[in-house]
Amino acid sequence: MIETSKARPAWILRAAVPSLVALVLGLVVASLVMVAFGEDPVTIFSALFSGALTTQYGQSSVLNYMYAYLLLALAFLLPGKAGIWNVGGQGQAILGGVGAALIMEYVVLPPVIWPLAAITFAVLAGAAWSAISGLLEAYRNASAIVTTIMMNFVAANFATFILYYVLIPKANVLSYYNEVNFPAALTLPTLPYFTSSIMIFVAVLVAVGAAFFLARTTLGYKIRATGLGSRPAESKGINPRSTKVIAMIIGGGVAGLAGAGAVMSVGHGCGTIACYQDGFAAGWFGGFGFAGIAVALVALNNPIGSIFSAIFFSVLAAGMPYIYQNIYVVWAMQGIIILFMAAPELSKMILTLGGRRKWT
Amino acid sequence: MNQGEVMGILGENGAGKSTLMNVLYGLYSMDEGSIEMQGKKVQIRSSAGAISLGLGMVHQAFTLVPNMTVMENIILGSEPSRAGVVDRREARRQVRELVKQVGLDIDLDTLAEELPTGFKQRVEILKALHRGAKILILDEPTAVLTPLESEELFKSVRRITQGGSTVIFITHKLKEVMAITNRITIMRRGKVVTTLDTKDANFDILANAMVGRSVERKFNFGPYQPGDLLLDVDRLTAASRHKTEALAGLTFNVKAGEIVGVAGVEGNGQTELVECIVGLMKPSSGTIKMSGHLVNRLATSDVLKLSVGHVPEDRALNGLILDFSIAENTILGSADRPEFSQRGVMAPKRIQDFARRIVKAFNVSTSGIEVKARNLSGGNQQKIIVGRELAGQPNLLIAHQPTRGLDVASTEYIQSLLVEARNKGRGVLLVSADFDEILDLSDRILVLYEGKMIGELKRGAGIGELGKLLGGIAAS
Amino acid sequence: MDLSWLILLAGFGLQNAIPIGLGAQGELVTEKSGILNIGLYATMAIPAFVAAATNIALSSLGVASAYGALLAAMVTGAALNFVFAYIATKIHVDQVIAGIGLNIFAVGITAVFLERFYSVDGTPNGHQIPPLFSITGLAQNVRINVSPLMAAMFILPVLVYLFLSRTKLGMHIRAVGEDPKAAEAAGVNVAWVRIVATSIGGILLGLGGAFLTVDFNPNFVPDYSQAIFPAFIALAAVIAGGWKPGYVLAVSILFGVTEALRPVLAVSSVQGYLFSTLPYIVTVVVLGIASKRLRPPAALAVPFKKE
Repeated sequence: MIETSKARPAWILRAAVPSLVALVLGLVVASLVMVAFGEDPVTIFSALFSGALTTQYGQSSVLNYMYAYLLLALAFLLPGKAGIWNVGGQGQAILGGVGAALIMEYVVLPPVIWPLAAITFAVLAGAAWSAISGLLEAYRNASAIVTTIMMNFVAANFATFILYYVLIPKANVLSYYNEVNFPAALTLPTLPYFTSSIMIFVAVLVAVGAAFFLARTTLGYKIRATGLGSRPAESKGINPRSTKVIAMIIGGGVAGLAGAGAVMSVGHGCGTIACYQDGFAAGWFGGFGFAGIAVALVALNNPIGSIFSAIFFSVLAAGMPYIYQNIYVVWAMQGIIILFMAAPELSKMILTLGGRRKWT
Repeated sequence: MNQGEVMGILGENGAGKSTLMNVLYGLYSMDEGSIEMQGKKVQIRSSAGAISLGLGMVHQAFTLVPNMTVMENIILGSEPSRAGVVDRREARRQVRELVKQVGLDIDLDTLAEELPTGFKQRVEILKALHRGAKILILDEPTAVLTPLESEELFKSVRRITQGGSTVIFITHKLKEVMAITNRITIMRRGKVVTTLDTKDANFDILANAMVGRSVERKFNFGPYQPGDLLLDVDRLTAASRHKTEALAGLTFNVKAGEIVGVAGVEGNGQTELVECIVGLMKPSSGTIKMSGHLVNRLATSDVLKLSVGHVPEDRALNGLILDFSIAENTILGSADRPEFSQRGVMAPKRIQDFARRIVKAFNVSTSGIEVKARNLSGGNQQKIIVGRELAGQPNLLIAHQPTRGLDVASTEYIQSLLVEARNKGRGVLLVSADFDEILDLSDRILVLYEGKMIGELKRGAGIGELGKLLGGIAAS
Repeated sequence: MDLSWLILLAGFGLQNAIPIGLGAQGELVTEKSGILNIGLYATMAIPAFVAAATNIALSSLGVASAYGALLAAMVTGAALNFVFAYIATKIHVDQVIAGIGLNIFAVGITAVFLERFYSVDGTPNGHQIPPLFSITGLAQNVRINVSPLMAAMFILPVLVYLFLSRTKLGMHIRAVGEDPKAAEAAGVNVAWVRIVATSIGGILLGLGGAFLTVDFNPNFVPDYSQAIFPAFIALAAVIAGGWKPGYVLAVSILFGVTEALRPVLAVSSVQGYLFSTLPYIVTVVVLGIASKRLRPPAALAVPFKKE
C-alpha cells in the first residue's frame, strides 16, 4: 500500500484477532461435539494434522486444495473490494472447467499453446459468467448475492449436461465411468516429490499479483474507492457501475482459472472431469466455492492473508480422509468459523466476557 | 404558547429551530431548562413520549412507507384493532372524520409513492392528528409545496386551530409567517431574539431580527477586476426527488477573479444547482456553459477536467473516503494523471510527496499522510478537500457549504483560502447557508429562493436587504 | 388418447412442489420484513432431520409420531430462524455471511447426527402422514395420494395474504421491510418485527423440510443434498413470484413440475439437467427485469441501524 511500513507487524497482529478467535472458537465447538459423542478431540485432530502434514499423500493434497481455495478466495474478495458480493465462485469455476475441457476435446493446437489456450478460455468463461451477475447488479439493481447463487446451480447442471452429452460421447468413453481423460500434453506439470501440479505456484502468484493490483494500480485504487466510498468517488468522476462490473469480471476470471486447474491437474482423481464432480458439482456446501469464501473471510478479505488462511483450510480438507468417521464435524466447524467471522464484534464480545482487557 | 394559536418560529439556518423542535419531540435531550404543559413540568424522552403528550411533528423529510396506501400510512402505529386484526371499517371511519375536520381531502386508497409531494404532506399531517396530536409542529412545510398547495395548507392550518389544536410553524419565509401566524418568535444562534404579535410585525423588523451580524471578518481583497466568463448558467430547470421544479429557470454567471456568493436557506435548490453544474444531475432544461463549452451532458469526470474544482457539501459523505488515508484521498479523481501513475501503475513516492505538500501548504495537523481521513478533525478534513481542489489550479472553484461545522480557526483559514484564490484570478462560486460568510466574502451576492435567483446585491449590502431577499421578498 | 403422462406429471409435480411451496411462503414473510435469509437451507435441512428422528423415536405411538415429527420440525425451524434474526438485527451480524455459515454448519451437523444415530440401510420405520384422499383410476396403476400438506400448500398463500394485509403485525412487517425509518418514526419496533417475521418463516420452512423426510419417504434417511434442491428453489420462487403469495404459489408449482418433467417424460437424464436449470434461469431473468422497478421489499438485506 502507499504506506510506511513502520507499524506493520503490530497492526497485523491486532487485525488478526477476530480471525484467530473465530478459528479457536470453531475448534472448541467441534471438540465439544466430539466429546459429546464420546470421541477424543485430541486424537482426532492430531490424526488430521499429522495425516495432512506428515504423509506425502497428505502434503500433496494440501497443495492441491490450497490452490483452489486460494483462487476462489480471491474470486470472492476482489469483487468484494468494490462492494459487490460474488457468491458465485463455484459456478464460475465450473464454467471455467467446462471451457477448458471443451478446448481440450475439440481443438488441437501445437504443444505449449494448447494448454495455454485452454487456460485462457477457462478464464474467459468464468469472467463471462460473473459478468452477467455484475451487469445485472450494476445496471439493473438485481442483487448479486441472489443472482450468483442462482448461477451456481445453472452452472452445475449445465456442466453435468455437457459432461454427459458432449464430452463423454466425444471422448468415446463409456458413460458410467463418469470421467474423461485428456491427452497428456494438456496436463499441467507437477512438482517434484509431490503429486500436485504447479497450480499452487500460479495461485500464489495470482494472490501476490492481486495484492499489488489493489494497492498499486489505478484500477485497483478505483475499485477500492468504489467499495469504501462510492459517493465521494463518483463526485470525483469514478464511475461506480462500470468499476463494479470490472471487479466482478476479474473475480470470475480468477475462479475460471481454478476450474482450469481442476481439469488439467493430475493426481487425486483430477485430470478428468470427475475431479469436479467431486469437488465442484456435488455437495454444494462442501464445494470449493464456499470454502473459498470462508478462506477469504477468515483472512479479512486480504489477498496475502488468504494465502495463510488457505493453508489452514487445506490442511483441514487434506486431513479428512484420515479421520473418516468425523469428516462432517469438521464441515460443521467451517460453518461455525464463518458465523463468527460474520460478526467480528461477536468474537470481541466473547473475549471480553471474562472481564479481560478490551481489544480495540 | 396558547391554545388555538399559530406560532411562527422564524430564523435562518443554524438558528436552532430544528434543534428546539427535536428536543420538544423527544429526539434530543436537553441540558438545562424545562418544558411545561398546562402548568405541569414534563419530561420528554422519546417520540413515543412526545406523542403521548399530544405533540405531533411533521418533518421536512417525509416518513411514509412508499408502497402502502394513504390510509395504511395514516394508521400505521396507531391502528384500531381487535385481537391483532386491524378493524378496517373503524379505521376508515376515523380517518374520514379527520379529513372532514381538517379539510385536507385525499384519496385514501392511493399508494403513498404515487402521491405528489403536497399530498404526501397532507398524509403526514393526518397521521399526526390520528395519533391525537393537540400541538402540531410543522417544520418548513412549504419548502416542497407549490404556491397553490401552500394556500391549501394555510386553509387547513386555520381549520386545525379552529378545532382547538395549536400549531407551531417553523419557517424562514417572511410572507408566510406574516400570513398565517398569530405570534412570531424569532431565533438566532440558539437564542430567542424576540417574540411579537404578528399584527405588530412587518418585513423590515423581521428581516433585521433574523439576520443579525456578529463580528465582521476582515480579509485582504485585491481590486475587483472580474475577467473572463467562467460559468454561464441560463434558465436552468431541474427536478429533484421531492420537487418537480427544484430549479425553476435559474440564470447567473461567474467570472474570473470574483467570488459569487449564492445565499439562501437550505432547500431552495442549492444542492440541485451544484449537482447540475458538476454533472451529478442532469437538468431538464436550460444550459450550463463553462468558458464557452456546453457542459449539460457531460459526465462528472469530464466536467472536472475543464479545470473545475468542487468542494462538496458534506465532507464525510461526498468529499472524502473516510477509510482511505490522507494520501489516497488527495489523489481521488486524479489517479490517472501522468504525475501520479504510469500506464496504470501508481507511483507511491510522487503521491506521498504530493500529499505531504498539501498537508504542509494547508496547515493540516496530522501525524502523517497515512492517517485515515476518519481520524482527522472536521477542520482538517475540510482542509484536505480544499487543498486537493486548489492543488489542481482550477479556473473555477465551487465551494458548497465549505465551513459548515468547523471551528472558528478552521473557518477563517478556509475562507482566507477562498479569498486568495479569488485574488489570484480564479472564479469562486460560494454556495452557503452561513450568511455572515456570504456577506464577508462575496463580491456579488445572489439570493436563491424557490429555485430562482430572486435578487442580486453587491459587496457592502445591508443585512436588512439580504434578510428580505432570503425571506422571499424581492426588491421593490 | 393416453393422458396418463399428464396426470403423472401433475401428481409428481405437485408433490415436488410441496416443500418448495411451504418454504417459499415462509421465506416470503421473512423477506417482506427485510431480512434475506440465505441460510434457509439450514432451516429446512436441520428440521428435516429433527422430523425424521422424532418420527422414529415416537414410532411406537402410531401415526401420532408423524404429527409429532411435523411439530418438532416447526419448532426447530422457528428456533433456528429466531436465533438468526436475533443476531442479524441486534448484533448487526452480516446477514449474508451468517446465512452462508449456517448453511455449511447445517450440512456438517446433520451429517454428523446421521452418521452417529442411523445407518443408511435398515432404518427403523417412521410413520407417514395419512393422506387426505387418494385419486385413482385416472390412469393405469396410478394412484395419487393427496397429503394434508398439499392442502396446506394451497391454503397457505391465502392465509399469508390475509395476515400481511389485514393484521396489525402484518402491516408492521410490510412497513419495516419497505422503509424501516418510516416504520420507526411511526413507533414500530423494527428489530422485533423482523425477528418475529423471520421466526414465522422458520416455522414454514421447517414444515417444508419435514415433508421431505416424513411424507415423501419415511424410511428415507435424509441425505443433505436432497434438501438443497427445495431450499434454494424456494428462494427462487419467492423472487420469481414477485413477493406476492398467490404468484409465489404458482411459481412453486411450476418449479415442482419442472423437476418432474425428467422422470415423467422419460427425458434422458442427461437432457434433464438442462431442465433443472430452468427455475434458476427464470429467477435471474426476473431479477434482471424487475429489480429496477423496485418491488422487492426495498429494505431487503439492508441492516437497520437506529440513529
